[in-house]
Amino acid sequence: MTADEFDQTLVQLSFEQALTELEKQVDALEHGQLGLEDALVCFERGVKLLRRCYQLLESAEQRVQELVGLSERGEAVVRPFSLPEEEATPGRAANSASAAQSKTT
Amino acid sequence: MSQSSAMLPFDTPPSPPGAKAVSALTVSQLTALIRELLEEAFDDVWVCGEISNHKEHMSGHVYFTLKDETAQIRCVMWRDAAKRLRFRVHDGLQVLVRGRVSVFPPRGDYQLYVREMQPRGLGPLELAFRQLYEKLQKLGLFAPERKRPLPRVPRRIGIVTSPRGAVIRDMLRILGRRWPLAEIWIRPVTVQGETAPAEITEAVRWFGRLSGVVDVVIVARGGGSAEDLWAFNEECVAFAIRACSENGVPVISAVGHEVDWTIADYAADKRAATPSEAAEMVVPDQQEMRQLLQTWKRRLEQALRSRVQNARRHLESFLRHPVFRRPLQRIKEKVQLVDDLGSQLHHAMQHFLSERKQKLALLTGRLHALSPLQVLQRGYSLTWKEGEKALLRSSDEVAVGDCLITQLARGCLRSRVESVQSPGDAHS
Repeated sequence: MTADEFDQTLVQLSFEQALTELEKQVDALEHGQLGLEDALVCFERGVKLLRRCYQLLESAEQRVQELVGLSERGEAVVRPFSLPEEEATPGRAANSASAAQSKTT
Repeated sequence: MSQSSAMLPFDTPPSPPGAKAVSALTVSQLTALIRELLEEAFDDVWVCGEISNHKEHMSGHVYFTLKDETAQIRCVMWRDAAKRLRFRVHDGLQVLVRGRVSVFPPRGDYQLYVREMQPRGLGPLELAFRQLYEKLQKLGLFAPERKRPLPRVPRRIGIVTSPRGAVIRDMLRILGRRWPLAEIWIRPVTVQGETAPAEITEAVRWFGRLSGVVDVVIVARGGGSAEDLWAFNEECVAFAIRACSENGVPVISAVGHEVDWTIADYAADKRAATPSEAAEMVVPDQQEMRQLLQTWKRRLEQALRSRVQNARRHLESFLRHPVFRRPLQRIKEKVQLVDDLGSQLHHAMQHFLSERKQKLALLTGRLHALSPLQVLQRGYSLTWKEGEKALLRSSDEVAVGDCLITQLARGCLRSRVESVQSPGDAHS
């Protein structure tokens, strides 16, 4: 795999895939009988994988969906999920109350 | 007679004509009377005994005999009552039943119409649980080798639970804190009551069909009574969980508190003591993950550094090699070799020459011995006529007055012949 091909696949990797791949590179570099040139390639890939992992972590924002059902083709039908109103209200009320308080003080 | 016959109608012979009519009962009437008596007396009784001749009909009604050591009574349990039983009725089961005694007129049997049944010794739910557990275990539903490992880092997590209450909130909070990368798909269901098992089953089956889309499913419910948690002890839920797992989506069961074990817990790939624990175990913690990444980063750097050092040491070991350390050494060695060969050649030549010299000297000595000069030493001399080269060997060759040259061992003489004596004279 050339460096460009690697970069292309990198952006498609899930966190777990990146993590597994990173583990492989670390292992290869630590225990493998790599030539110096291969070791450098290995290191470079490892650094890129690390960057990918951090990138995914930093950009993470949890999405919560409701599974409404399955389509005829067996695909998931989802819509945004929010906690039921009557339970969400007390929390919100508390928040707005504290916000109001902080305004007055 | 007639008095007594009135008192004992069954003994009454057919009424003679004209006599006061004696009321004979029909079988149905009698049966109805008996039934009334029995129903009044045994409207609501609890009876304990052992079940035998148990039969469940297509209609859903259940028939059996309740017996002890010395007696037995026929029993019927109508479909509606039988449906409410959580455990399986079978011969030999010791039970406590509640019902009323009545008569089945077509057969003239009295029987117990059972509306409730409890196993003896165990609670009914406990018995039902044990029975289902044994059945499913025999079917291999709980086999450890069928357990699917959880994904290390799930991208999408399915949750089957009630959308209300603290359970879903706690789970979302924990998931959000630990691993916000994961997308959560919630399938809201009711988790107790009549419809709960079917809803849970359907939800789990849906997730099972989303293999590759959803990486893991959590089936969760907060704490409650055994009755509240019952939906998770239903066979259909256990089968749905296994089917989901077999399809490639592992299932975590998180029902009730730590002490509550449900059939779903056994069927699932992993049991969490509580829903919160399920949320903890299903994802890695991002803080720990960051630390792990840091560790790997260090290891990567360390490994490269040592690899480079290794390469350097290797290189240096080459450089320490004499070839690189004293590059002229080889040449010097060659020169020395040439020198050596040169001197060898020289010696050989010397030897050769001296040998020849010796030989020459030897030859010279031998030659010298033969030299006429040597003879001259001993007092002989050589004489030839002046101007001629031939040596004189006879006096005949000279005449008086010839000039003769005489070679001595040392020096020469020139002399003139004064007389000649012929060779014959000399001998005489």
